[in-house]
Amino acid sequence: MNPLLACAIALVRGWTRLYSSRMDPASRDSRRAEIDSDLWEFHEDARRRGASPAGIAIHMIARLCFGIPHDLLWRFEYEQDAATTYRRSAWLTAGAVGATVCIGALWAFFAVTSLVALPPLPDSIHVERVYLQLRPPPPPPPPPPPHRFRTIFDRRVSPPPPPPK
Amino acid sequence: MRRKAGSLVPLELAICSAAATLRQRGEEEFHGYEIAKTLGDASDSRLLTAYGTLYRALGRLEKMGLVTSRWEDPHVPARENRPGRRLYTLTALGETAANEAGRAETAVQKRPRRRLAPA
Repeated sequence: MNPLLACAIALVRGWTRLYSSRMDPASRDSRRAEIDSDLWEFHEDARRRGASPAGIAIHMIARLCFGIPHDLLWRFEYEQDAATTYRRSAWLTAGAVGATVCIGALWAFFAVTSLVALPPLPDSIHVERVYLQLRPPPPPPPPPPPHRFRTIFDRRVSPPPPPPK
Repeated sequence: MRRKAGSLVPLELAICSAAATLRQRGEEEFHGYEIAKTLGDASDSRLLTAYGTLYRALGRLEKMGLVTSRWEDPHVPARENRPGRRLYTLTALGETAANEAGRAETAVQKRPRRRLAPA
């Protein structure tokens, strides 16, 4: 291959690699492959038409130079789109985290309040019994004397005679 | 200067028109170099459209839905020993844009030129 033509092809490829670097692989590889295909088609077509290699090389370099502003604008637009997507995803992530925190806080609040309202656990009753067994309960108060109401029969019925001596 | 959303620049209209011409010739799909060559033939220009200009315009047309693209089956370029082509197809929307561009161009050509009145 003519060195000038090889140099022109390398220049176009190098520039394409440069402005498409640090892009997502799909866009980057697509653009590089498309330029490669164009270079090949152009070279083959010009060769078939009988163009000189130097002429092909100059044409390639001219196409490269006239397209540089558009290449840069294309990259700038890509960056803007990527920034918009990033901003949107950041907002979505923040919203998801906020919603999770709110739901978690509500869950914790209801969990704590429902625990307070619960009846005491059976273990606590057992502990209380053990505590009561350790200290003997106070003696029960003496029963009250039997109370007798005086009735009408109490008047009539004379008391039993004293036993004879 | 920012372009209005949805507006087409002359190159984009020319691409749509060239794609419509290719379709009339029976070529439903076209690749980047093919459209550059058709544009060059139509405008009698010796220099083809620059790489950056052409592919940025094609990308914008695809975003607007005027063309669609696909990568050809990898077996075909492997068999022909060449790089794979990205094949574009003009959509119905793109064809409408091409027709409108053609009509506008005809109207401009038919409009009588104003002559300066003699002093």
